[in-house]
Amino acid sequence: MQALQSLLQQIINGVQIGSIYALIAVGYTMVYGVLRFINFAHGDVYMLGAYFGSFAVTALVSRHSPPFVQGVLGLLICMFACAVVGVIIERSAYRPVRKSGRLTALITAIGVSLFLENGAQAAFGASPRAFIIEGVGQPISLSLGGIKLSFDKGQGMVLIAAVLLTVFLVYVVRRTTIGKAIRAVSYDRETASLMGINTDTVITLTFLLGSGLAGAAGILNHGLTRQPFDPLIGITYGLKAFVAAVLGGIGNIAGAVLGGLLMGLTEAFVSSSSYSSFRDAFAFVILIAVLMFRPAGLLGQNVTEKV
Amino acid sequence: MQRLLRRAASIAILLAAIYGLSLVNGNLQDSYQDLLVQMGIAVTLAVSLNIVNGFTGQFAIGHAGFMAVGAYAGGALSFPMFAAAKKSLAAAHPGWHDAQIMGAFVSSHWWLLPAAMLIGGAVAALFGWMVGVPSLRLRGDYLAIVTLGFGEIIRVLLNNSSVISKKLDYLGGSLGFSPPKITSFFAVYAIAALVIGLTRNLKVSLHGLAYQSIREDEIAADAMGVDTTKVKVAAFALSAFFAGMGGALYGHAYLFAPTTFNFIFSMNLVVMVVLGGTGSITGSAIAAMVLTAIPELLKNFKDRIPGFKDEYRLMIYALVLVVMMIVRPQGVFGRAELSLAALKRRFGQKRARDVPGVIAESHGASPRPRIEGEILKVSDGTKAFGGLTAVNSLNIELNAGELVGMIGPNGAGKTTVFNLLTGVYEPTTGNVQFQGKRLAGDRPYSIAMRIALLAWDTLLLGLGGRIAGVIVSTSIGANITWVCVLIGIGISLALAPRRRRNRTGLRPSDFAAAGIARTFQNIRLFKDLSVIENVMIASYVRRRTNLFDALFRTARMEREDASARARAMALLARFELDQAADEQAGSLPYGGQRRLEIARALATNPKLLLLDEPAAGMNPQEKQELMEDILHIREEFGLTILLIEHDMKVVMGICERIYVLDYGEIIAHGTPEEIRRDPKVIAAYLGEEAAVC
Amino acid sequence: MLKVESVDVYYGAIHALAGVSLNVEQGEVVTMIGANGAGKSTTIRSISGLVRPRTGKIFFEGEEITRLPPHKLVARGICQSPEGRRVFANMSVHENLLLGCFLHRKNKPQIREDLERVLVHFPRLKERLNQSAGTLSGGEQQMLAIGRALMARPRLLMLDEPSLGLAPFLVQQIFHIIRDINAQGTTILLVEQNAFQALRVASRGYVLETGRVVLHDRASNLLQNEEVKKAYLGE
Repeated sequence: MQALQSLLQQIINGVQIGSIYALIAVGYTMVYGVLRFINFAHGDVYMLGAYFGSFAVTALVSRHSPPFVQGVLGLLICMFACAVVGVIIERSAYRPVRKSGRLTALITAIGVSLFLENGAQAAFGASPRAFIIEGVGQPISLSLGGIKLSFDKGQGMVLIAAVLLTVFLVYVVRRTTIGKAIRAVSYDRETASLMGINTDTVITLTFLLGSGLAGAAGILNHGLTRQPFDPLIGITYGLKAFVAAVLGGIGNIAGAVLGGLLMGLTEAFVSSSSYSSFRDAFAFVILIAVLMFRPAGLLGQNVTEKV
Repeated sequence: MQRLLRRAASIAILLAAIYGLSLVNGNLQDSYQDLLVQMGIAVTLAVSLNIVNGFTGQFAIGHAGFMAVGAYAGGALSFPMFAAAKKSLAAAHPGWHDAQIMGAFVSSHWWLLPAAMLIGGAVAALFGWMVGVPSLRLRGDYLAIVTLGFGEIIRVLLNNSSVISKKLDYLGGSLGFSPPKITSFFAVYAIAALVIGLTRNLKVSLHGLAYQSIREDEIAADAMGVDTTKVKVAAFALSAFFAGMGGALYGHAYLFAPTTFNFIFSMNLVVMVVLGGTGSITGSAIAAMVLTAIPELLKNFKDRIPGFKDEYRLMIYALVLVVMMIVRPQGVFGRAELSLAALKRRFGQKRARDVPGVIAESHGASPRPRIEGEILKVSDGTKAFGGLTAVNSLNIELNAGELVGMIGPNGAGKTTVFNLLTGVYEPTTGNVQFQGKRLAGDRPYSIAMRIALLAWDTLLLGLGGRIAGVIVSTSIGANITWVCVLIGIGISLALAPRRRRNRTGLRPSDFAAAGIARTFQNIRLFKDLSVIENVMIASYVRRRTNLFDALFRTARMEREDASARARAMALLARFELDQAADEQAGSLPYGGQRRLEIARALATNPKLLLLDEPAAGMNPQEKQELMEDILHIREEFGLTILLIEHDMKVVMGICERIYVLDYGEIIAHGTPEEIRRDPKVIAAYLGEEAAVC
Repeated sequence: MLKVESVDVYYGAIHALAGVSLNVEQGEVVTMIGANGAGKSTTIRSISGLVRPRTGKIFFEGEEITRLPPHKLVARGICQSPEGRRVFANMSVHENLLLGCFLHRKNKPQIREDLERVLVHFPRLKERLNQSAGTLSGGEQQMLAIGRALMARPRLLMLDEPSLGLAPFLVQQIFHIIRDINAQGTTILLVEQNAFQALRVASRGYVLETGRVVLHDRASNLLQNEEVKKAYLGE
């Protein structure tokens, strides 16, 4: 009984953190889809999301807004601000190097990432911070036939919000015209432009969506669970989310979600086990093991180059 | 002998110069001495990373991991030795202070730093090999993430060294490790010069060309007989070896901890390579020095300008990086090198043209003895992609010396057939035989081998199950380890019937070595290499030299390079391209590129030549010339030729037999006359009107 | 309708087009012939905005369009069916066709009408409407590429090598379709390897060699021209 209880508890923890990874990973994967390039600055947008979130929530608290408003309005403000940052990055740094090689784009992304990290350090200071939306710290206990599960209200809300956002994204990509345009651009940018699709706009929109989701991940993870954060937090989260995206098959949205969840579950189990000090290595061990058998990731298509 | 003397003299002069500089260095401020050592080590690392990222064009971003391996392996040798020596020296000379002990240690253990570097390099190379082998199936970004992951895994393992084994406690875990500080300015720059020299030797050799051909076009490189997997592994191992040496130097200069060699460190190295110009040794070396110096020198600002935060320094660095990439995406040097020869050329002295010394070995214009009988046989070749059958139970036979055509609409599977014949694809069923030797398909393992493989799989999966089991068990507090082990073993057994019935097929480079050469439908030249280099690469498949020859530029290597060049030149002359030998292949006009592709294919000394739509985009006049040319080439080089072509005039005009492909199946084959009258072909392909004319 | 005035295009150091001029009148079929590398595709690509000319001007219905991005040109009625067909292989035939009328996506009745019209031209596509485009044969993909371009209601349709790689009997069919499309009022600029067929459907033709227009005349005259006969018709 005890064991089953811990098992379920770890699964809950894993899914919760995994859903955060998934939200960030989706941004990596979408940008990769349209531009075939790894946006290394994406993790830093997540970091900014945490800061924007803390500012928004602090401002709302000082106006005595009710917790619900703090959460929803804070989330929207935060997503909007991060989306704007993402669009600015795309326009100013990535667009000029779009025609150059992939290494060039990668270095540009590293430059942007360094800039954001040090900029945040200069502006907000290097010491860790934490904040929380009022009232979400309440512990909840569930009791199912002798199994007691305990978690914060916030943890549950992270999960619900992540699911809603993912559903929203899948709807946008699968069902709307914008989504169709994004898919067309991902497949063949030049031909998409011959269909009358403004590819620049589509790329900007992709950054907007991806960065908005990363921002959402930032406020959800830190604002609902009081996790501390600092200007360099984006590196760890970004790296893990990136691994999640590759694990699922980069370019594939469902893959990013699956990869994120797997990553979260692994982390939850490893960090509560006797191997906990090796936690950060396990993400990569699993990744390498998966890539050995499926070189394009779990859900990725193995494209053979046309000869 | 004279060559050796000259080389020894120049090395001696170089070492003397470095020694001289080290005397100057001794008079500098400590902080500058420190910076110069950092810069020198950075050069070694950037140049070594350039071998993988610049030459072979792979995407490795975990270089600091190899450096860490080198630093720790080297330190593992020197640290205990120093501790012991220190103890005995302190006991023998009670009055000595640390500097005196260090001095005595260095003079009695002068060999320790080189030994530590060799060990560091060797262990790192072993790791490089280990990363290289499994990563070979991966491309681009997937490879990048694996190298990155490797760096991170190494870091985590070193952080937990004492958890892994108490014996490793002295490595210090996350607290840091401090082997004796025996690295000198002289050692740093001597190694930097050595690494630059060896890398440069590699770059100009035939081996270096093979490395670069992978960067230019991996598929074409493979088709030219460059075993891209082996070359990539070698590049990884070599690059890791140098990085390990650099790591050992670093380890004996500074206090370090596993976090020193983090992701950001790796990224900085990638930045150096890209900013300097991927593929340019000069570029990597200079960028390494400049980029190491800038952030340090910017530190001075902090003290001079009030309110200048340390973060601004790195923000400026980041901005410079982005602007540089926008302004000069190919890096400062592009792929060019700074060399005496280049300078001379710039200032008007014409470089002494490499006169082919071994012209005697020409391209073999005398008709080669014809092989008689069947040369190629495809039996029941089928290739399916997922559920889609691209080619279905194909039977093709070619006799030596024949000129056979293959026609069919686009999407009928013609190119798939070529890919089966050149090892790009492995047939799903059926096999390919060339000169009586089975090259692809149906090469089952022996029972013993299959049992061994199954045992290996079971061991791996069982071990994986055990690790997963321990994690879950300790996490939930109930022992279910054995369940997980059983699941692992179960998976292995369940998958057994579906896995590895066949040996992995031979690679395209093996097909090329066996004597099958090809051209591509949409020309695949090594565009950024010169015309003659494109052809020279084909000599790589018959090389008699090894990596050692290339690195140390032995006499054997020089002879081989010269003969490859001579052969290439002779072939270029045959195709009227010798005037353009030193131009970039990509700058040739369309017709020239087509000819170069054929010349390159012939340079591998093939017995069977596969031409994929050679007449595409030619006007009727050019087509006429091409037809005559193909007939000539066949005689001249004693070839068998298989030709895919749309142009009916070309196919009907020169082919002795024709296969017609439709929806992945051969619907007819015979002489041109038979094909023209075949009702099936008329219905599916030619149409009534065309059949008449 | 379309006027190209001495356009120069460079790819890096390579001078791909050297002062190409041509014009297309309303309702015509105009063809460009020449060997590979002569600059035919580059001309079309610079008209549809995929490559930027270094010098020279392009006008469409009197308005300068030289540096407009491709999607704005589609909005003005210039559509291209690209070389190599380039269908969206991971989408269904239906989705491909709908992407063709991306700019008219709000106008549902028009889409329905256009879809019917296109499917009358290409009955083969009707049978395969829900099949993924990647599974079509080469000929069917070419039909899809042309159909997709037609969905945008082009005023000027540019076809880049529509007969490339098709079985000879399908080549005939494609040229019939081109004639039909033109008869219904669409102006066509056609790039072809198959000079004989192209000149038979075209009213005028341009001959390109190494990035220059070397000859320009009525198609019937070009068919009689000795040099053209020798170099491109293979007689």
